[in-house]
Amino acid sequence: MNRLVRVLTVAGLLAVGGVAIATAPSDDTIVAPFLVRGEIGKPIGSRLATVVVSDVAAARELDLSYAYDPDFGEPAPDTASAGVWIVVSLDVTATYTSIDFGNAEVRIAGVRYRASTVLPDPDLPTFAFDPGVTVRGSIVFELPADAVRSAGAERADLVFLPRLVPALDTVATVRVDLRTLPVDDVAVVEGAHAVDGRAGRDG
Amino acid sequence: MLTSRESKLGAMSTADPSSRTARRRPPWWLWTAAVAATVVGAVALLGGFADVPDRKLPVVPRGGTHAGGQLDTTVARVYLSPARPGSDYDASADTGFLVVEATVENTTDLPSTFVDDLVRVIAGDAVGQADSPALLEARTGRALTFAQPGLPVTVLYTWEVDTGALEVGDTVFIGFFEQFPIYGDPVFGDDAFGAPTATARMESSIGPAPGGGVR
Repeated sequence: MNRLVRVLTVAGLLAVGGVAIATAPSDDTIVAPFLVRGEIGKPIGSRLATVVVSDVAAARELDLSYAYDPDFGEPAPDTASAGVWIVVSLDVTATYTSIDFGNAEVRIAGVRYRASTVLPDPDLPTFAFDPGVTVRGSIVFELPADAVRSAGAERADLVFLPRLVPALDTVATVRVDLRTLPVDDVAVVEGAHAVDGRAGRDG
Repeated sequence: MLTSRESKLGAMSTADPSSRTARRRPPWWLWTAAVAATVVGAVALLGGFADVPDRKLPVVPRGGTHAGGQLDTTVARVYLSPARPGSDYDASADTGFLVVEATVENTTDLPSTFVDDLVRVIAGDAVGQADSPALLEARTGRALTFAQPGLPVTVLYTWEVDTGALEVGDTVFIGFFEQFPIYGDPVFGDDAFGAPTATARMESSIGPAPGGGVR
C-alpha cells in the first residue's frame, strides 16, 4: 500500500511539473513591454516619451522634397512601392533621456513591420529626441499590399518602440484601421524638426 | 582408503556453492575488454572512426530560388560595375565593384536583419568567403538593414575589387547562408541564433554591367 502511495505521489508531482513547464510563459512574454493605448490626435504618455499622432496616410510613393531640391543636387530616390507606404505624422517629446523611434512597428495579426530606413536626413526614425524638446515629423512603413488589405489590417497597431527590446517598459501604441484607408498616389513626408512646446500642445 | 585425488574431489563437492561461483566469475580485465569490444564494435557498425566525408552543398540552379528558413533568395545577375552602386560616381581608376543582384523575400513574421549575412561569394583571388559585402537596396541606392516580412526587395551585394582582378565571363561561386536558433541561451533566451552557416551554393559567371560597359 505504501509503495502504491509513493508511486502515485511521484507520478502526480511529475504531472504537475509537466503542466507547469508546458504552460510557463516564454522569456519574451515575461519581459514584454506594456502597451499604452491611445487615439489619433491625443497625447499618449509612456515612461520615455509622449507621442501625439496627428495623421496616418497610405500611398504608393513618397514625396521626399523636404530633403531634396528638384532643381539642385542629387535627385530623390525612387520610392515607388509594389506594396503600400503607411505614413504616420506625429509629435514626440522625450521625457528624461534621449531616444529614437528607429524600431517603431506596425503590427497586423501578429506580423511585425519595422519603420523604413528609406528616409534621408533629417528623418524622424533616426532623429535623437532630447528630453523636453518636441519634435515633429513622419515615420514611414512599407507594407505588402496584401497585408494592408487583410482582415487584420482593420485592427493594426502603431507601436512606438523606443528601443528594440523595451523590456517591461511602457510603449505608446495607437490602433488604426488601415484596411479602409484610401491609398493615394503620393504622400508628402515631413522631415524631423523641433517645434515649440510639448507634444500635445501645438507649437 | 581414499586416494589423494578422490579426497580432493570429495572436498570440492562439499565446498560452499558461493565459493565455486566466485571461482567461475570472469576476472575484471575480461569485463573491461568485453565492454571495450562492445563499444568499438558499435562504433564500427555505425561507420567507424573514418573521417566524415565532405558533403557538397546542394546546388541552386541559375535563376532558381534558394528557400531558406527566413529568407528566399533569387539571384538575378552578377556583374562588374565601374561606378559605386547606389551612386553615379565612378570608383577610382584602379578599383571597381563586383555586384550580386538578388531578390530577397522574408518569409517570417518579423523583420529580418539576416539579409546582411545571407550571401557570400568566392571569385578567384579577388573576393573570398570572409569578405563582407556592402548591402544596398537597388531601388533607392540606400543601405538596407532589414527585410520586411512578405515584401520582396531587390538588393545589391557589392564588393570593391581591383581593376583587372575579375573579368566578364569569370566564374563566381555564390554561397547561401542561414542561421539557426539556439534555445535556452543563458543571455538571450530563445532569441539567439548560431553563426551563419552555408546551406546551398550556386555557380555563376560575371556578366556585363546593366546599361553600360565594363572597364
